[in-house]
Amino acid sequence: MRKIERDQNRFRQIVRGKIKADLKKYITHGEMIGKTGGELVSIPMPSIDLPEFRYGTKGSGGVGQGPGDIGQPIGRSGDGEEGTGQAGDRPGQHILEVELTMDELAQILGEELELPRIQPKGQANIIEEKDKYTGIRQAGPESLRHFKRTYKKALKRQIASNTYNPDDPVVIPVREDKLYRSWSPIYLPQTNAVVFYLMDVSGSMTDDQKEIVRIEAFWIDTWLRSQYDGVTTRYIIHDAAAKEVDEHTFYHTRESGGTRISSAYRLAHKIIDAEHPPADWNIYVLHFSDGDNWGEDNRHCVELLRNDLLPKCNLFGYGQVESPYGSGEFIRELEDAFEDEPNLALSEIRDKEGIYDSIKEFLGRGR
Amino acid sequence: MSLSTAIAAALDAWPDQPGIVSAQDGPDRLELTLSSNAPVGVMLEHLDFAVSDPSRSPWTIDELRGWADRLAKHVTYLMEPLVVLEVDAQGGEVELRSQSPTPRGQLRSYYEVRLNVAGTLRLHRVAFDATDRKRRPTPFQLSREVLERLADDLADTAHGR
Repeated sequence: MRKIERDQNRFRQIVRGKIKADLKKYITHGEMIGKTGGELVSIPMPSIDLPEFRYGTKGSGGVGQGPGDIGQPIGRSGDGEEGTGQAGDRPGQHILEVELTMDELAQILGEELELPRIQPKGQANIIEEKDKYTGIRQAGPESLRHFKRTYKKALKRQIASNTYNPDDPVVIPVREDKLYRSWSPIYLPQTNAVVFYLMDVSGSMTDDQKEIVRIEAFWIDTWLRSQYDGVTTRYIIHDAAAKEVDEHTFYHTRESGGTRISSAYRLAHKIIDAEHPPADWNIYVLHFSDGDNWGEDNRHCVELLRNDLLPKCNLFGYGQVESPYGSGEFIRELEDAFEDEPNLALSEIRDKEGIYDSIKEFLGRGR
Repeated sequence: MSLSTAIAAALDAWPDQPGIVSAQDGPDRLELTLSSNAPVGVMLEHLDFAVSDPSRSPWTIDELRGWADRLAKHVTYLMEPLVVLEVDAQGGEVELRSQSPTPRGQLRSYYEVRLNVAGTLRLHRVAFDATDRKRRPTPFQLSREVLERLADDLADTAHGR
């Protein structure tokens, strides 16, 4: 290993340590969510001291020259006017942005929250077909021509036919010399997961609450993607009625309808039945609401959960996000209806500070 | 006679003790579930208002929404202004709440008003206790002037005035 690589690894270890130490702050503030770009996430790190040269005091004395007389104090130019600005209340700092892969981020999250690795349900069950270059053929597109083998074959032919001159080592392949790479399909078993995000967008859910959902969903997504070969996400919003939407609509919709949580559970179940059979998919359903459910709907929700969703899900997580009006009764209904269901996780999220514990509650079961 | 004078008369005749006091003015009926009654004001568990007009067909959800909007616009003199929060077309109800709950120590309390397509309204106050994370109905106080003004505003907004 070269010295620069050693230094680079050491720097990465320092960065990892810093991120781990400040993970709760990063989770709470959602600082990195807007900075994701495909595989990499960029994290602002304000408190890493970059190495720098510092001059010692030795030999620092010098000879000055200026208009003053001997003994005249320097740095005092009489009575100046007072400045108008105010002193800052925070220390000055350089913000360093560090790029991490999503896998690294997931690893840090797993270590810090002590998350157990997920045991995928059943066998690796989705068969994915991939092409792999496995052999050589005498015909094929020029783009797949095997340069080295072609020239070796041409050289052999020229030597055998005594047309090769070592003093003038020119090798010219003819058509019969040309060799091409060939491929064959291979089948790889993959463990795939589908994550349903359900959110209450009724009038009582404010933008602050949706921000909490967005931050929590980002971290859950990061972890699940690190645990499965392929993760499909689906988004469902509901007030009194539910519909499937894209990610942007999911986080930016506000409806004024009443709240009927069962509508979302019914739709999720319908999609699971139609497109994600539990035998082939690891299914996660994560629902967020302020818990202000209307009328008799709580009972319907409990029935749907017990009979339809829980038997099919690896994990059903319900996060109740507190609104300015406090926290609704729905979570208590679920607590009363279900005791020690291994694949049901309930979490009450009071504010952004509560996201950290809520993630741990959802993902700490290793399911 | 108006609903305000009718309820004022009913309260004058009621001693300072818990109970239900009601007043009627034409199709409009106001019912107060009292915790206490004093010359300057009342403490209420909840307040119910109903328009009982047999000749009228049930309210549509749009009419109910209109009533809720008028209420939010006119009833601005309670502890907190009201906003229309949810319109449940399926259940035939509209819910208004205080725009921002009032914090007092560990309690956050707010008004909640529910309108139903049967032409009924219930106003009550809810307190969320951060210590046990539960919501409970809580009594609320209205001065006699505010109560009388509210009685007339309920009737006026219900009839689109």
